[in-house]
Amino acid sequence: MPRVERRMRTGVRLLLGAVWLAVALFALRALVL
Amino acid sequence: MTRGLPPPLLAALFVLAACAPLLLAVASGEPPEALQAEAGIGLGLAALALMLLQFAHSGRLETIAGRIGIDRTMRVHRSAGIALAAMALLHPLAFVAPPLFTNPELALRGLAGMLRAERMQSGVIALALLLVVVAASLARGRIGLAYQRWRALHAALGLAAAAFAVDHALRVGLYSGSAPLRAFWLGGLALAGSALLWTWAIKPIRDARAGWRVASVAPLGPDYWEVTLHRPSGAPLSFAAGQFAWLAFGRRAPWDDNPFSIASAPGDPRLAFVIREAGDLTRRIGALPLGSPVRVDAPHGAFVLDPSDRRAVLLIAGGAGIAPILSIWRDLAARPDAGAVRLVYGAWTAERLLYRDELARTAAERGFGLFLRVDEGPLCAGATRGILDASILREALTGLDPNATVAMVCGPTPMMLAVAATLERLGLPPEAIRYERFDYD
Repeated sequence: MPRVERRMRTGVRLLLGAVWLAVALFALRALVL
Repeated sequence: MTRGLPPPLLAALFVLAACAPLLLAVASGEPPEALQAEAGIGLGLAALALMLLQFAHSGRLETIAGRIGIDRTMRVHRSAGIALAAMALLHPLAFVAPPLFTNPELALRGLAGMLRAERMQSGVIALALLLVVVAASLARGRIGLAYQRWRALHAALGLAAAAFAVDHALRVGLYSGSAPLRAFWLGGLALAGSALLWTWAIKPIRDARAGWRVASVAPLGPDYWEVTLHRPSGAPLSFAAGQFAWLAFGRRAPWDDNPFSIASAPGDPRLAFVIREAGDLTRRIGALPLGSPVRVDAPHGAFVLDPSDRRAVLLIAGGAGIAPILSIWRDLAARPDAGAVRLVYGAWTAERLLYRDELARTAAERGFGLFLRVDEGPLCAGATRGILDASILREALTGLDPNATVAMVCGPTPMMLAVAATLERLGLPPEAIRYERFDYD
């Protein structure tokens, strides 16, 4: 697979990874607060 | 012609909008529940935000897709659809998470009781609809669902799922009772509905009234037709070479149109398209009556050259992929200041190499490089045998600096991916290799 295609897929994974991370941080509030 | 928002801004807006309900929930000041409940709530909030964002990714809104292109837009749409379905599935499970591992029977009984409760009905319907939408999208090819029928179903069921999910959030959501989050859900749902209304009702009516008619239909070669459109007002469409149009021949439902690359150059009062006989619609192309109405939704796509880009241009076309490449070639031929231009064009047989005379004439007049490839059958003048492999691409790049060359590739997806990989090996930077796939599986 060309790098140009891999870059696009990585970019999309990063976007959605940021949302999953935000969900995890939101849940972890329960342990801190 | 809209050029769309820049990619970094779009990415930031996407993450911000997807995480906004989580931030609003935190800002509501409610003390958090237990870890598993907060995980369940967080998954639900993010899933619903992503679901509402999906309506901006239809590929028809140029503010979104104009700069990043249809490939990235649909890739985000597809991946976000899978991610939000996973979040929505985990959302109810998280509430029964602790006994799920120690006493699964108790957990499942608790889950069943929860899902049977009357106030949970809209949530259960939303989840069921969502799973149908995602499963039908992933299996569309295998279950033989026609593209146009699937598209109408996808939009209708998607909006219904979003509406039931918003109802669910407002009915049982712990944080969604707060005014800002309530406004976010209702505003998001209204925007999602508006996006669909614009795409499937207002825009098609406007596009149909633009007055485009079939001006000519001519065979180009085996299986290939050239269709040109004109409108009596004579005003040319404002587009950039390489862009495409959604066309609906005759009077058709709003979702019953197909994408075709524009083959004519910008400024030409007639819009030209190269159409290959393949599906149901394209098999009837030869019988299109002259003067019949055509709904044109255009321009779309980011497969364009930046006019300020001074790099050499390497155009690569395979089969029907010649259409947008021809538009770019014609546009460059009309520019007195065009730099080095090379075209590598391959087809299955020599008679499927379209516009050969025009290409050869322009190449001679403007000093553009022309490299023709034929896979099978007799060769024609100027063509060599083979596919679009490293040898022909290396030959076409002779004398050019790969670091100062931009490549525009159009053809079947496996060909574009193979050509892109070869061009990278030949020294072109990945960002200098452009293509649009139009398939997202």
